[in-house]
Amino acid sequence: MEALNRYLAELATHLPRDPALREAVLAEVEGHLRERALAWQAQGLGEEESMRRAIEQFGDADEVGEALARVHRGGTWRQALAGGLPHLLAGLAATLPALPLAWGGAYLARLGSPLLANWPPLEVAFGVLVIAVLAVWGRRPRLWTCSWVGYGLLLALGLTMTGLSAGWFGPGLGHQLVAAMLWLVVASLVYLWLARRDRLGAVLAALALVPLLWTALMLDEVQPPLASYLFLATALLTALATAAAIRLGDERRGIALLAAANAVIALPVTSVAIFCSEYPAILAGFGGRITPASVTVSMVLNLGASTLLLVGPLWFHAVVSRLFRRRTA
Amino acid sequence: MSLFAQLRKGSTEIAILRLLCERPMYGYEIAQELERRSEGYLAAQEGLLYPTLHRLEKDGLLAAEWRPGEGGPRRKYYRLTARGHQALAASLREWREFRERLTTLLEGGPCGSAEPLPG
Repeated sequence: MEALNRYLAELATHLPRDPALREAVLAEVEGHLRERALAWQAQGLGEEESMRRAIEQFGDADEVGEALARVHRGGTWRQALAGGLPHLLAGLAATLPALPLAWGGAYLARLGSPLLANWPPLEVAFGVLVIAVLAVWGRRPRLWTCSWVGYGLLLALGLTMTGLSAGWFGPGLGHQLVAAMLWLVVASLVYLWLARRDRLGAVLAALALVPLLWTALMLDEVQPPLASYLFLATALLTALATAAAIRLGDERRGIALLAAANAVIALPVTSVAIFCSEYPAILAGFGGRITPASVTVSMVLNLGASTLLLVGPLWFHAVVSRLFRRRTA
Repeated sequence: MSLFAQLRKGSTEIAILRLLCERPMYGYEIAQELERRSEGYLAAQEGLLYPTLHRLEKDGLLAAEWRPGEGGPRRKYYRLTARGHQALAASLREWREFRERLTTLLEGGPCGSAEPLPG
């Protein structure tokens, strides 16, 4: 049945990466072709000729594969909305209590580090919602759930950081290092699992972690009203980019769209961090002065670092799967 | 693609809903039934039946479950959901109206005959 295997392999090249979906689609197609071939055999044709006719009747593998991919690729509007929702909620939970007042910076700082330290009700409610969504739908992951997975990791990171500063993991540096490494290992495994199913899903999850957390950290020193508005704008943009990528469903174009949104966020946020606060990390290297060179270096480094974090899981997955293949070969 | 080829392609969806209204069926069975009942008129590339089935399932008009095959590999059976029944009823209403209006338009008047007009 070489012809059958060749046909299925050709069809599979068009399908999304999700192993469960691929297995189900290919099993269904294989069953159809085998049954049609048996019907031809019952009419007196040979085994190979029967399969050749069954395949011919089924249609061109590229055409059928692409038509199937179109169905399974793009999410519905409802799924796009559900995927973008956690970004909006996170933006509101972090800034809403702060917007009319002057103490927004404290909320932003809290998102980055001890997320649950002061138990602000909106953030706790958001955390509970994320865990509920993951518990209910996590068993059957779809593309739109990936951004919720990203917020699950963000909450776990917040909890780890809270624990580190509160001394939950013991007094010594060794214990704290173990706790931080534990989060890193768990996050890496989650990203690996997501990237194996769907590379766009892994980037959607990273989008929850990279631009929002990074914006919160960068704007920590910026005056509250401006920082809150920028943070909300970041959340809105990530929500829109997420919804568009889910609706699009196409892996390559979806990832490009998310990387572009990340760049759109990175550049103005870096500018604000440089011009509206004492942004020390890069400027220190230039004697603390704002010059064209120091601004350019800051922009390039921040854009590079955030893009690296965003698409890093994909490289990580590629390296691990290559290592695994070499070992099993 | 000719007008009638487009119409045939567009009619696959309502034909599938109509078939599954009777009982759950799996892909190959649906292809066979479509071919048999339309006397080959709706027999197209069989593979293109599956994107339609999967889209209807994704839209919630069909539900599917895997069942063991008769001595062979397992099969994915599709059945009509409540939304599928509603969609079929709406499609049938639309189809009847479309057929009546188009018949009145095409077959009425002096040019309505299938035979060419004299002169």
